Amino acid sequence: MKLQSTDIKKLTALAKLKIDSSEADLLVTNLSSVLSWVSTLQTADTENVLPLTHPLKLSQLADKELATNDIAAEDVYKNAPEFKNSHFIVPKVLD
Amino acid sequence: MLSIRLLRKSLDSKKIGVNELVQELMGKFKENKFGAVLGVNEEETFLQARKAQEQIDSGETKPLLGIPCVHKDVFVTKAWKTTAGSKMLENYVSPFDATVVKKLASAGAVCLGKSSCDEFAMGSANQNCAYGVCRNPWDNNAVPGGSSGGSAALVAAGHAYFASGTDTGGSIRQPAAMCGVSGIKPTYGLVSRWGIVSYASSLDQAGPITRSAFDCGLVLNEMAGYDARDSTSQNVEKVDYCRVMEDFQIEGKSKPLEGFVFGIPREYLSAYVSVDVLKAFEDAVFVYKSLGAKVVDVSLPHAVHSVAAYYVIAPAEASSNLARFDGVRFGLRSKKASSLEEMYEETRSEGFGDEVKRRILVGTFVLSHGYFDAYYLQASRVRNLVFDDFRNAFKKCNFLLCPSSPTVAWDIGSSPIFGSSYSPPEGVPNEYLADLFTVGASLAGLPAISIPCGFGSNEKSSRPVGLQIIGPHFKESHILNVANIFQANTDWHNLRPENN
Repeated sequence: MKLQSTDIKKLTALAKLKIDSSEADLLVTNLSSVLSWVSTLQTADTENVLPLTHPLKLSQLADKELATNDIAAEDVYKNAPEFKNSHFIVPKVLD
Repeated sequence: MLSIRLLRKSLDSKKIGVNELVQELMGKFKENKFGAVLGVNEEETFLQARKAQEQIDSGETKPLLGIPCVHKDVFVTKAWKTTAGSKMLENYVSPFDATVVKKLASAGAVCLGKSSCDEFAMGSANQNCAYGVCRNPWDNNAVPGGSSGGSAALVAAGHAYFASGTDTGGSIRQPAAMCGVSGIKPTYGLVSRWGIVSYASSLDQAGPITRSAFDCGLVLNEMAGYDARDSTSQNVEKVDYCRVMEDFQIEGKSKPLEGFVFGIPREYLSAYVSVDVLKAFEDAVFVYKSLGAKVVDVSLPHAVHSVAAYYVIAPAEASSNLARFDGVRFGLRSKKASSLEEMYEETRSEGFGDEVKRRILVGTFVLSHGYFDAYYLQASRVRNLVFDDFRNAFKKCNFLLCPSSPTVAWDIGSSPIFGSSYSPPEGVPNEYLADLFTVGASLAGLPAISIPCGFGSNEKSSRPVGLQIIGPHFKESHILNVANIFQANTDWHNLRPENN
């Protein structure tokens, strides 16, 4: 799997990461090597094999969502970079 | 340094006080000789010590009462910052304690603070931490292993009696091996993941790092248990691991392991493993044989694909889990940004280290349109084959034995060196490939322990070698039992590095 710099540009955009051109060159090499290696998985015969998503082959149970008061709201807000009037503040989206 | 059980007796008999014990360890903790410490809160630690002493004075006898421990810095804590080894969470203080933290505090353990780890637990050497490298107490030029390297180093140095760790692809077992201590990754779902900073949710599992298998059992007794807050937590019958070890009669028996069968996946041992690790491993196998165990060769035909499958599945889950770090609700926010889009990108680019970025990008790729089936889905199918390999192997044996790592701890700034007949694929970090013996049990959700079984040389110094014992799901008591019997017949777990 040989990636091009355009692939890296697309991936970094999807992952919301910003990289400079020297980093991009390095990533083309690094990621291409890793992806070529993991491509060897395609040699495994997986016909009629189901994907395993839960390591115990069990399904996850969905519990009822119950509200509790064991975490104070102020303790949550104090980790926010900017919080005002019950809102998380972010840079302006609309003019 | 005493075992946890002997230390408990000394505390109960007032030979030593909790405060005095904690005072001594806190001095070493603050000195931070190995770069293994990330968080200190003396006020909280001494408060916990005082409470533990009061309980001892009132006649309480909980197994971990007054025992000093550390938590890997991916367990969230109210009283200490939780950085996960990342700049992204430099000032993060959780509004709640992880279930593991809460359970161990209820059991009376006294937390000395937080231990260093690879950023978001991504690494095999503890060199990916944003707050500096961590060193191996056996040789300060060597890595301690990772990602729970700080936890393993602190236990090895005698600066804590036990430590919590997390294991996604070997992050408890491999550093335990490299630091000459014992560490168990329980069955997926046995220990709650609530309050662990997520790396790869279908693989992450917490467990203890201690000096001996018996101490692992003591701590795991308190860590394990169903937690409704973790949707993958398993509601299984509670087992007293120490009771199982104590009840297994070995005294008077020359062959206590008669009837037990250990399987060795020979097919890839000789190619990958360095000569010195192989020697220590074969010596350990001989110990089990001399105790009456039968040793057979078993085949894990898809093990050859397990590391590649892991390095698709784990980054895929990581890319999703780490999407939450966007600078909005908690953690770092870049000051450079003027728009929302810029804020996301600048924040994530400043906050994440190189290895984390690399894994996010690999994960993004394997989940992206056009590649999902060929990479992520195929890896998940291979995971099923790996799972079945283990299931078939356990029809022929009770346990699997292999080294925990194909090499001893490598030098800081260097890479693992494999057996001479193995040619690693070009451009793939050797650190990834060195996970060969640990990722299989992770993909299959199996319990596995690493215990010290000797030393190997990397031409400069003698460094510990770990023996890995893998068992069927929820057979932690069996694994701990045979590990405990090994330790009753060997002395590797009692050896300590000098000058700490």
